Amino acid sequence: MVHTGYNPALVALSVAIAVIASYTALDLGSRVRDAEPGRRIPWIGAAALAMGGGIWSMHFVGMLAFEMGMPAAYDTGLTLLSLLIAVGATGGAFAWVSRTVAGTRDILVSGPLMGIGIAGMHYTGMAALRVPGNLAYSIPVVAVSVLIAVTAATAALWLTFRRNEVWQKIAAAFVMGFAVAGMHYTGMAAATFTAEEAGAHAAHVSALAPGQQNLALVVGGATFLILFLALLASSIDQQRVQRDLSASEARFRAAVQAVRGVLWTNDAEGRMVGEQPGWSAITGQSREEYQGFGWANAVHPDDSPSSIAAWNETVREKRTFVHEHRVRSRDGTWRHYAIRAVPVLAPDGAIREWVGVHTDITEQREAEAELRESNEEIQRYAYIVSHDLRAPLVNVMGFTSELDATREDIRAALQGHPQAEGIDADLGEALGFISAAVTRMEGLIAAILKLSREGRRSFQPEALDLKALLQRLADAQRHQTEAAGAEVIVASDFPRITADRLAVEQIFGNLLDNAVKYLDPARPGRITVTATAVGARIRIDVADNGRGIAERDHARVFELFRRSGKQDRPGEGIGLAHVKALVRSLGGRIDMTSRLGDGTTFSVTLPRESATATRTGADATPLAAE
Amino acid sequence: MRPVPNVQSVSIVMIEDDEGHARLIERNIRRAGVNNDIIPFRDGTSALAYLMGPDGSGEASAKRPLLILLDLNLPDMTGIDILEKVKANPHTRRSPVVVLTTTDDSREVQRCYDLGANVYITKPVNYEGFANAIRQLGLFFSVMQVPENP
Repeated sequence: MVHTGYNPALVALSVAIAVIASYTALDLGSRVRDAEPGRRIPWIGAAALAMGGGIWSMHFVGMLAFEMGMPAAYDTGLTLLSLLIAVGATGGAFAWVSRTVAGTRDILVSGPLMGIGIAGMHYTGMAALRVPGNLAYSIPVVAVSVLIAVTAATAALWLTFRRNEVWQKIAAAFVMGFAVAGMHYTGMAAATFTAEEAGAHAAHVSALAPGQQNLALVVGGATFLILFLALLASSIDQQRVQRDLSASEARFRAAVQAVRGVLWTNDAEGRMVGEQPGWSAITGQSREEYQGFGWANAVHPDDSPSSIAAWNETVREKRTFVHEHRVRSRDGTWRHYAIRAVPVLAPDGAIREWVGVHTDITEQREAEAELRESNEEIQRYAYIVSHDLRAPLVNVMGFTSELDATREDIRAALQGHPQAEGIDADLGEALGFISAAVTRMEGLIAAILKLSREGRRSFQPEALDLKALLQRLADAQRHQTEAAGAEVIVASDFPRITADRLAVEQIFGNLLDNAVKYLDPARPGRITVTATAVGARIRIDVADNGRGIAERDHARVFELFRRSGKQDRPGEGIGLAHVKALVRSLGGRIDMTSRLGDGTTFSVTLPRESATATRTGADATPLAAE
Repeated sequence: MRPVPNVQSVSIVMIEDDEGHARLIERNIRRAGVNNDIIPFRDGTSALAYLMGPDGSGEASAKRPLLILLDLNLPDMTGIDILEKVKANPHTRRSPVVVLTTTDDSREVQRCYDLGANVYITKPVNYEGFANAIRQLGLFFSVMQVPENP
């Protein structure tokens, strides 16, 4: 047995190295998770170097503090290996625990890995020790030393990766420092040195002994310098993070200013907490009035049940809240607001709070109501005018017929008169023109009336099988199609749509009818009907290779009583105006591309779900004055 | 034309603001062989004054078999107002009311029948149709029984 002892100053130095190295390594390690993907490896490397180097340097200083009364030397290869083990194991532990998907359980992998790294470094370092004597270990104490390393390292990692408060970091550093130093000194306690006959090694190791203290200071100093530089790098990074944070806060404040609305925040359950200057400004509610669920008192009573239902559903589904309701203003008037609120989620997926914006859309709503009113007025006007125009027409037509009947009497009275035949012919011609004009006018009035009625019709949306519907329309025209030597091809794939059946039939019946009517006799007609989904809408294209429409007529074809091209087909210029009115009533739009001589494509875009179901007979204005 | 004895005492109250229409209606009713008195009114106020009497009670029409031809589009009120009053008054409610107007709006038609109109006819613009409709109406008048008002 060799008498052994410790130099207390060097022991203190070794413990200080362990704690400070731990602090540095944990600080660097905790940055990995927030780092950009490409910068993770350098952070992990730096943390591993700080930790591994710290463990190694602690071990080395600890060994120098050990006074065993005989010369000692180190095997360079094994010493280097011990450093590599420390760096490698801690690097692996940091890499594992800082993966973005890592959870609390992963600490149970990283902690033991780090503990085993510490122990591995120590015992490899011990194996590198060359002393003139024998080294024996007490197995139970070795086990205790490994246990200390594993437990303390796990605890330290757990502290580090929970929250990043400074006192916790420091506590974690002390625990980790305890893991390193505690393991080392327990490991040393497990070792027993037995001296051999002195002299064998004395010659070349004796040079080491006098400078031991200085060497310890140099190693310690170098370690502290490296750790200091690492912490400096870390704090520069911290400043960058702070800058980003304050930039993002400034951006948030600017966004609040830029948004045309009022910003508020709610807690996870929807309670208003803290100062809500925006909300207070629009409602005039004081903090006592709006806090908790008091804000709901400012919502219009008629809107509040639907608002609460929508809110509860949104909270359940953790999605963006989109709603509209009326809110009582400071002056007691009700104003319409559009609301959008976004949940802010905590890392574990729970809602932390809500950030929402109320945007005043009262003017928009009023403008819409005015537009609707003036639309209704125009329709009422068209309806009344067409009826009032009809009444005199009944007279013109009626008395023309009466005159025609009187012609018989005139003819009889003029019998024998030299100009009798001429007079009768003139009379007949005039009456013919009058009745032709009246018939035409009646047709035009009927068309206006029909259009104005389409605008007032109430639609009954139902789920439609478009493929079957279009095929039926095409079949209904087979006679005309075959007579023209043409074919109608309806695509096999159509999305489902909810719309008014009659309106859709009228739209595509008209378009198909036009396509067949205006084919080019120079080539076999080919009409295709296809559909494309465009988000929540679908576009249905009716394309033909017919005669096409000249560019100057592109807008005109949708106008009432206007027609394009050679006037060699029957028609009154009503169909497309009617189609356009119907498409618009269904909440869709119609576009046309056409080249004279090549063909025409009409594209009808309709919402998949009908948005016009609300237009019912109830809000159509009664027209009693007929 | 042969007289129709059983409706001889029935008067036809024609409420029609368009003089031309009134004339055409009258001609075609006559052509159907209906010789009953036709009492024309060109606005709602004067027609109501006749039907309800100066006191407005409707007693003026008691014991008076009437058949009312009604246009809905009147300058001072709608025919529906008149229809309502006629069908609500105990002295006039048994009088058959024929609505003869230009609109064929289905809601208007329903409303008139709901209020107690007996017949609703849309005036066709085409004269042949118009003349036909009136003549048939005339034939219908010649066979229908009109009750006396209580």
